[in-house]
Amino acid sequence: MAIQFLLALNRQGKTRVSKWYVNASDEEKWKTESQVHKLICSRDHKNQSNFVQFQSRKLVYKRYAGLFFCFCIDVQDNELSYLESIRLLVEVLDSYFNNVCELDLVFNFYKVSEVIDEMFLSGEIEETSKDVILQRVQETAKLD
Amino acid sequence: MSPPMKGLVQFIADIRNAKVHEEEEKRVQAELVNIQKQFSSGNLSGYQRKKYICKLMYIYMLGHRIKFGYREAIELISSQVFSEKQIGYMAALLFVSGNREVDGALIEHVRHDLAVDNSNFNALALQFLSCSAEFGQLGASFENDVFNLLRSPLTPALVRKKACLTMLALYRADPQTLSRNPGWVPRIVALIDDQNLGVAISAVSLTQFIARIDPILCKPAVPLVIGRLHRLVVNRECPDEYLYYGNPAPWLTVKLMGLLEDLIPDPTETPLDPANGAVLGEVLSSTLSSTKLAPATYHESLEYRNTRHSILFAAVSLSSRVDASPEGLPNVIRALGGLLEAGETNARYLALDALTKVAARSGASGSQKAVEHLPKVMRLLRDRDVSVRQKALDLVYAICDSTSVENICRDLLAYMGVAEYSMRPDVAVKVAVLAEKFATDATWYVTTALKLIAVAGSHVADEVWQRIVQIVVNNEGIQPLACKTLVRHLKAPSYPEPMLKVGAFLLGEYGHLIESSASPKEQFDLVYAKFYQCSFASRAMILSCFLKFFLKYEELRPLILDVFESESASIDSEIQQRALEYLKIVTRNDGLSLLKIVTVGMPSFTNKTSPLIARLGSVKIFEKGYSKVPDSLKRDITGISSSASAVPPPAPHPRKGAPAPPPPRNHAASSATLQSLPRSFSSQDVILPQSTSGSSNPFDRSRTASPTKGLAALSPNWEEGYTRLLRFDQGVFFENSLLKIIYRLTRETNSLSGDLQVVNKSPSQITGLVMEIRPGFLNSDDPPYMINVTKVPDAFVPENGRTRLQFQATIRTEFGDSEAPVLNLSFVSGGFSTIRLRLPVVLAKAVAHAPLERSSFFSRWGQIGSALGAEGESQLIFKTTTAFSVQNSSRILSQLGFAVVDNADPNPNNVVGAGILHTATGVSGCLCRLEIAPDGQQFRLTMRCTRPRVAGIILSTAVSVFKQT
Repeated sequence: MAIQFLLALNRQGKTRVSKWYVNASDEEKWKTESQVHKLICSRDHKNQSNFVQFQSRKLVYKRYAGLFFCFCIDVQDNELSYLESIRLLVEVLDSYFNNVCELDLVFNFYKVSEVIDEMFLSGEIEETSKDVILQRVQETAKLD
Repeated sequence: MSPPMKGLVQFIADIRNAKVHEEEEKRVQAELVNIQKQFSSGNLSGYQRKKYICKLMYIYMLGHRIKFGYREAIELISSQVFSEKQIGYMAALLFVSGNREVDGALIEHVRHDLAVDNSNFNALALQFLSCSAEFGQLGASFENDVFNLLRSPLTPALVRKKACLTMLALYRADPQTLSRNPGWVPRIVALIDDQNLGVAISAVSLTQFIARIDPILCKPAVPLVIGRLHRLVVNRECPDEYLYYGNPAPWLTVKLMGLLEDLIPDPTETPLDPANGAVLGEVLSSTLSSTKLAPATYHESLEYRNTRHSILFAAVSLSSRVDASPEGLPNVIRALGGLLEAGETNARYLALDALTKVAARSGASGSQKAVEHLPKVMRLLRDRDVSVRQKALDLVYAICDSTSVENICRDLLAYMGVAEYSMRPDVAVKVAVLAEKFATDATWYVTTALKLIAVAGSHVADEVWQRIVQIVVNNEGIQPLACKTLVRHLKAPSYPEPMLKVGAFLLGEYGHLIESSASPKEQFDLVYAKFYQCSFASRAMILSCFLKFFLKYEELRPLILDVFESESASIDSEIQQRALEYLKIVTRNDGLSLLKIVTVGMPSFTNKTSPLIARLGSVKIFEKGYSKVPDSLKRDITGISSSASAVPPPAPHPRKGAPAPPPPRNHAASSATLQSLPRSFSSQDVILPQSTSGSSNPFDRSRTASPTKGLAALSPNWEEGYTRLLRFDQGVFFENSLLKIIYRLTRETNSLSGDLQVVNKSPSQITGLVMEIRPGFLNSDDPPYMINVTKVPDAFVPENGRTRLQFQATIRTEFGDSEAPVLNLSFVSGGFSTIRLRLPVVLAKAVAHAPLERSSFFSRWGQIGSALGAEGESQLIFKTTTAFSVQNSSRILSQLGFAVVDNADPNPNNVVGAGILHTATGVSGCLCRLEIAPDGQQFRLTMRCTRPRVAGIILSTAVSVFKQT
């Protein structure tokens, strides 16, 4: 299993995006999300790496404006590869929402979910071409 | 983008505008009432339904439970409008994962959407399935539909990539899917070479899962993977849309390299053929060399560097695994060495991590090469990022060898002064272990070890100074030197308390060896000077030191008597008692004969060896077979002549590996009578270190790598956990110093599912963990049970991490407990260890409660008796060490699967119970009757079963539970 979950949290700890690829109860999810927030916020963002041990796995995270995007991955997974996945996700969202901001993610949570489903499935990377992903989500928007 | 739903936007805006939590809560409740009203009105348009379901999902995201709306979600799924169907599936997931139940209508919709000729609907159904495969065994009914989408060349790439990853979810939910359809694997493997890179990367993930279970099955993928890597890395063949900051398909490249590692789990066993090896060599050397292949415009971007490095780290990992080219290792280390000075913290952090792994994997050759980078690594001990510093310390530890140990220890001791407090204990332990492990010169070791105490003193764990004492005790040649060095340290105006402890112990034992350079009075003064400033534990040690002085130096006796006398009134009861007892010993009127026995020289620490002993060369004994040497003989060799010659050898030391409790308390307890004193004293003040630090510790290894006599031998201590879990269905199954296994069994008539959780409790990572379950029966033509592993554990378990193995066992027919399956476990943690344990998967686990009427118990009992006679009955009279009341006995029988029938037996001291044994070949009744003697320790257990042989088997299980509980 590669990705356990994908989160976007704001600085106050509100979960803006949450996608779980492992089976967990709502309580476990909420608890974990707040643990992740606490852990990431406690780190020195200027000097520390973007990776941190979390339970028996590791978190790869990056801050964009007020939001932390974060993957929880297996210990043997390649950190930088997922760090760039965060970058790619943000770039796609940015193009899709035309200069994305936190509010876009709040009001269009179901669209964000769709974008993520085009990029990751079953906890694995599904698509890595920004063009292909954007083309696809723009296409489904025209279906109705 | 399709227009937003106004009602939803308004609702979200309202929630956002809520100033206080109560306001939000009120708004949510009002909305829930509204939605429920709308839903029950019955005539909603698709759009409205979608809008309300979206509101429900938003409410869920706010942290509320959603209790209605499932029906509406299903209706949305049945819609032909894409966005409605999409929202429907999204919401359905929420309900399915909450209840874990899937109803027929939903299954029908999924099946329909998988089959329909509409790739958009296919995609939605696949996405839903990928998230819900594990609920209610939803996956099993769709494996064929998913496979059809995956393999058909007519399916659009969009659907095929999703089908690959959905198939992966089905495999994970039920690994049997793989064994049910072995013919699918070649089709799946072939997709790695698909023209569409989305399909390819999805197929790589899927293949990787299969390869981790069965690398042989995926062998044909090797040339495909290597070929594809060559095209991407060397030829840079890649469609434009997959270029990421100038790097061709970096994610796919990383994934392919990871897959290759799983495809070649053991290159010595299944080496690459020369042709593929050469191509791979080219790929790796091209990755590891620093030539910049992308257009120069990208070189400055962080994204470019990150992706380059991501590939580099994947190549490093792969290269140290398969080592395709002879110059592999130096290349790897050179590439990583370059990154140690990278500007980004990320790169430095990962380079350290990778170097540590390479050094560990490649052994001495890797360490030697990596030592070139030592100055850089040492600089990173002062990095701005604490996690980088920690990694650097780990690496220093990993690459140290006998040529570099002196420099490394010197630098680390210097580092101790600037390291932050949280890291100091770790640095101290590492220095201690390295100094011991690689010391070539006794003088150097003693100086370094004591310097460590002087510098790190208050940060070191007790084990560190105790270990130093232990080594000095075991090495006669260094004792004078150690004492001299100690005297020097104790003369310093201030020093950490452990120094005083070491001093009290070693001067007490060996102070007489340096009488010429430090007089007894001088030694006494040095130790006594800090007596009132130190802790009670140290004071207790100083008192013991003085007791030894008392015997050796007549001139000190009046001084020592004063100390004992004044401390007899100490406010600490331990000190008081100790002083009083010592006073009594030295003032007995039988001369000093008891004192001579009490203060007999410290014997060697024989039950634990250390690499240092052999290296220092001054002690020639006990290297092997030491445990056979009688204690008395050992003493003669290392005991101090003055005391050893005068007294008979004391009773053997009671310690065996287990850590002694803290000295003072134990002493107080055991010295209640003077008779027990000689036996327990003299070694009390030194506790054997349980384990100094991880990987290099030889003690732990000797304990886990048990001598296996032939294959059938189970590990020592297997029985305790096994018997406990005969009775209980969950608990700790096995535990040693490196790991713990937690067991959980779920019963479902004749099918048992087990969950074994391995927890790494060693101070380092566990690698190469392999667990397999072997049936314990001999006759495989008619196996009594089938056992399948449904989830394999991760091979790598980080420090404090855990992993699990799950299995499914089906009981077919009866079998004896000795035929229960055996768990084989092997792993590397420091050294290679194997563990063999019998699994508590026994026939009795398939017995379930069968409540019986009080009146019918004995008529059934009689029926079995008359139908089967002696064949159906088994009886045993046994005694237990602990007493069981009727209630306790009833509970045990109930835990064993029998429904206790209250008041059925005329004798209130008897317990009867009824169970039903489920096997795949039939069901049989089991009745038991336990007669308990009044003392609660003698029992007669009678078992009657409707199937021959069964009574005896279950009886013996039950008896062993009673006996061991």
